[in-house]
Amino acid sequence: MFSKKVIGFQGLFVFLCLLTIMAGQAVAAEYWLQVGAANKTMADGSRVPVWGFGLDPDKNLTTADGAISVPGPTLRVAPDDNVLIIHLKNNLSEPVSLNILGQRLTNNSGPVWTNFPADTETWIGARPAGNYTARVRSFTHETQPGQVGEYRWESFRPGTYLLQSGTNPAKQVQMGMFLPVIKDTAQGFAYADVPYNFELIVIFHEIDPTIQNAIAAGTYGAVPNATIGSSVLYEPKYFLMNGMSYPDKGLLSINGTEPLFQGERLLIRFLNAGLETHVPQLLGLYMTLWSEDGNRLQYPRQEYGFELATGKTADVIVVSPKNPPWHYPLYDGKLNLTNNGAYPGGMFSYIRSSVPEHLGAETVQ
Amino acid sequence: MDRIGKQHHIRVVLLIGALLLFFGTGAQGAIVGISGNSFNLVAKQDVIVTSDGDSTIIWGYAVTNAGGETGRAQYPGPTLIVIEDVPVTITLSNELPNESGNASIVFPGHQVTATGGVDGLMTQEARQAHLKPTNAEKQVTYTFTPTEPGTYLYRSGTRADLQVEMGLFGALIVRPAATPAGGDPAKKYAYNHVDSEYDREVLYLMSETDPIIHRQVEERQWNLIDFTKYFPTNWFINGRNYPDLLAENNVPWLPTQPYNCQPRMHPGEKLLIRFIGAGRQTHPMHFHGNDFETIAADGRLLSSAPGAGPDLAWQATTIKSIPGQTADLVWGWTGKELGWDIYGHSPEDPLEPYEYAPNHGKPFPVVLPPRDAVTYGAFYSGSPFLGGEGELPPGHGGLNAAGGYFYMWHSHTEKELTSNDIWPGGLISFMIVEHPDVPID
Amino acid sequence: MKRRTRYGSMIVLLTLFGWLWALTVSANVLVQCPGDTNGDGISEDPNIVCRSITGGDGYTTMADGLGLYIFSFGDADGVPADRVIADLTLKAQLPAPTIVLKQGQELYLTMTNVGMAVRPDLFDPHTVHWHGFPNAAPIFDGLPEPSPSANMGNSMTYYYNAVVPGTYFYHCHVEAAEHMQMGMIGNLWVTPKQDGTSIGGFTKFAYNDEDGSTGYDVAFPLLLTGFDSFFHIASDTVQALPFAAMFDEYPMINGRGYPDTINPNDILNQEGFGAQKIPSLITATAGQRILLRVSNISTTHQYTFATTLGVPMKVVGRGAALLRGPDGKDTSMTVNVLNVGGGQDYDVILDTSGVAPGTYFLYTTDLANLSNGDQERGGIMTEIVINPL
Repeated sequence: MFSKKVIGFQGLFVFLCLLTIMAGQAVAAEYWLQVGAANKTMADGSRVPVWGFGLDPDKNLTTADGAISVPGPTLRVAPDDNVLIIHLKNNLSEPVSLNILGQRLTNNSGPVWTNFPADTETWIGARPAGNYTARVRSFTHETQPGQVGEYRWESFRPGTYLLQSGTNPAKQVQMGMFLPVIKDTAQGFAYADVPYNFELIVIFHEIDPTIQNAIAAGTYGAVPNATIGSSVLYEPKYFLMNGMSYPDKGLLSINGTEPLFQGERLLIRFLNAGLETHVPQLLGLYMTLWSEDGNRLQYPRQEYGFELATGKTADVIVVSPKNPPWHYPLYDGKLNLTNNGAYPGGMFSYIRSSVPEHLGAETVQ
Repeated sequence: MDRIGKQHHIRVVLLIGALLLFFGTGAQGAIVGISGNSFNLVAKQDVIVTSDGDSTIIWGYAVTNAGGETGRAQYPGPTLIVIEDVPVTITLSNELPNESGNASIVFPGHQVTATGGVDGLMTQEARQAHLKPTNAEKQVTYTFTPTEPGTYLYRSGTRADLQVEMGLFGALIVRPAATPAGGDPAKKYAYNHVDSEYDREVLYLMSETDPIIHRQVEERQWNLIDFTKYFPTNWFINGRNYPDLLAENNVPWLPTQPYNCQPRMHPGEKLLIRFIGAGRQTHPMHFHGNDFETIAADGRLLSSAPGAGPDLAWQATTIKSIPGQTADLVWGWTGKELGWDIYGHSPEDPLEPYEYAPNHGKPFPVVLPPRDAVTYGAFYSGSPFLGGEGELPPGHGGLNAAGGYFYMWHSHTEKELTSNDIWPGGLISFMIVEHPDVPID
Repeated sequence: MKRRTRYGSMIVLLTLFGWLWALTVSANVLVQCPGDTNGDGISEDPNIVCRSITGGDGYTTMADGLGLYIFSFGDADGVPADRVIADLTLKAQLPAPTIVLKQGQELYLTMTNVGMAVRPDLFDPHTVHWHGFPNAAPIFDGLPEPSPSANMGNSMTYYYNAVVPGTYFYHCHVEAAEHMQMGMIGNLWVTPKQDGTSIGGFTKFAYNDEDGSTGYDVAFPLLLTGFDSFFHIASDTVQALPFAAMFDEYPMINGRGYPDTINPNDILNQEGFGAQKIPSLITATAGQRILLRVSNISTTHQYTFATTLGVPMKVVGRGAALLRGPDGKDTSMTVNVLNVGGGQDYDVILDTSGVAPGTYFLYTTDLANLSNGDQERGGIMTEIVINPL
């Protein structure tokens, strides 16, 4: 059925909120994740191998380990939580690790270097003295295939963050090992003075099927039978927002089916999990940019678009200009509007303000 | 060293004629465009010339004048100059070749009402001719009221990756409705604040082309067009490559590329640079000579609070043009603190306007190599001094008769300083700071 | 796998002899250094800094072993005028020698064009462009179009009154797409007058901030660029230069790809000369503030970078200017990820307070550029070693 398909963000958000509420007053956000291989169906029907994260619903990482999605599931740290703990089961056949740009991994027992390209020797914690040829494989401690590793971030700072694999990132992050991690400063507040009514997460990334197929087949990298040695000639064919390309239905109303009444505030958390810069652009409205990489700006900026570099996150507020219904295009200003050469496609969506009685009548353009 | 005497003044004036023949003139201080509140545009196909001697098919917005005559498509589209708070109406019809698609315009930063045409992805679109559109479907009317002055762009909302690449974009300038509080009615302001004052303005609208895409369009090989392989090899400022952008506006030999890029100014003046990323690539533009101040982005002053003016302005010599975004920069030059007299004055000579007095009369600090030890650039006057002139080797074109200071304003992705594999080309332009006595209109 | 670029040694020897003869006949090598009373190229006036560099060609080694032909500047400090061409032919360095000045000093920079030994068919002049110098005048701006540029065998002395502190860089501007791709780039910065005074526990600052906000303990330059290996091989083998196809596939920091970025030794070229002299290893004691002087001079790419320190980067300066608005508002930026376009320079402070001792990484988040050509796990990456107190 949908065991390997993308999980909609709305459903996941509600599910996690319920989990948090049921857990009571927590001091740590704790998750059980698996990472494994799957196949992803593109908007034009073709399938590409991916490696991605999945939440393990029964938290034991021994029975069925949870559906994999690219992007991975959203993890949340409650406003009064200081600690994020992830138990990671590695269902791939190579070591993995975790890294959150901008947060400190408190129990880091890595990094891990190897004698590239043979990878027959490893050194952990420090580069061997006088050795200038060893190359890092993992920024943080590794979880070997079939094993479960624990990753703890203490003093977790508020904001929107990107969690990625910390192992050979050009390969593993490219394959899909990334997910958003979010912490508010208070219920309904992205930052101390930045309230919001609704939240939308928008993750940009791209897929080069030739490279991803080679990675899945084991013919990528510094290996004897490599067809592709590195990603330097990366040429993506698919361009995705939240794992979908236009005209995937989820992009026709990327923020779901909420009514946004006049004056209400939509918080959009942008993340660039791809290998290329993108330009989130809104047609018809201005956004107020409040933070970059989880750091609240001293002075917010009014823009209708901005540069979102690789690995970067940005939180913006869009104020609903009128009562529903309305819709505005939200897309990549670099005009990556193609699905493997076919138009229309790529990074194009609408944000909408809907009310139930309008849903059936809404024409989709 | 060459020192200029009082005769230079007369020589300079006499040589202006020769100079003006080469460099663009006409409205040096302002931007060429169409002013008004009602515009009739037509999307059409035509041809442009690139500085490597090639020509390429483009799609551009052509203008229908009051008499109902439509001109040729232009690259970029016409610069539309409107007034804050005055409603703007733009009609668009579609004369693109069959199967090119519908035509439309989107106006980032503005709340637009579109009527007529057919529903499109981003807005209403004027239907293709071969689909036998009704009169209502043939034309779209876009109306909006610009509520904030500033620099904006417009571009196609139909199959935007292809149509923007083909040239369907242009600049939109919104002038303030009134003089800002505390301002001088005789001065020019970009925004509703006195700190947005300027003396001259210039447009820097950046775009690029991939010749393969344009050839496929020309051959109507629609199913071969593949933007995942996009690789531009031609880059344009205001629709022209270097050195074509040095020529005047509206030269007859570039009929579909009316706009030049040839800023000139005097020391101490303020130049407003309206900087637009109209294409799909980012271009880091580097400005030799001095820092600029970025005062606005996307038509909004960089302001800590409403009414505070550009108090968050930042300065640098390089800024990236972001696709679909705009910025406003203010640039000036005085040559202060160079450590030597830029005019080659004797101490008893009078000061020029904005001259840095502590350096007045200070001698030139080094011995320049003899003429046969160096290559004289085409824009070297023969003298290191502003307004100066000196002996030039035989065969030198003498292209800087007024002794101006030339600064290259160019992309720092230097690959883009070529036109389809030919150096020089692409994103090279020159600011000329002229001696205060040299007239620039 | 090592690849060597070929050239006939005999041909080079012959052309070298011809060169030296031709150059001595018309040579005009002149190092200008006011206040230099004993001819050592150093001025006795502490306010004057004299530097002597050469413009010419040479070789480098990429991190996958590939040898690539380059143009760049060599180090001629203290070399007598009559030895410059003979001693510094084929001694181009990548990046070029670093130039450091104090605010208020005057720089007399002599650049001698020693010619391109491997390409005797080329007659290119060379120039020096101080990128970002405020209120520049064309005579010293290094743009060949509006100025004289030194022909082969000749020198030009550039004069700069360094009144504005900050992080800059310099490069040749002759046929910029070619000469910059070929490697004629170097680090340059000016320290502020405030240095030496004590503010907030610091005595070194990026700018005259008056409040210590740009204070640092240790500083490192990070000059980002890339090489298009096909372009360099075409230049070496006298082929037409592929401008339209130019695409950097050897991204580098300070002229090296990872892991050579962390190698403290010179990287030797195929002549046995250490052309690549600047490592990028970042070291600090826990709690110290690190200043990164970052610039990008790639002719084809922009590069984005981040660190795994887990602390944000504070961008305190850009374009050799303190990030403060016209009336003093703090416009510094706190980010985890920073994009640097060609021609941009930034001053980035890393505050390591609370960071556990260990090794961290500064790397490009444009992950495709973690490559040395077709070799993975290379490119724009270096290591940050935080030592215990």
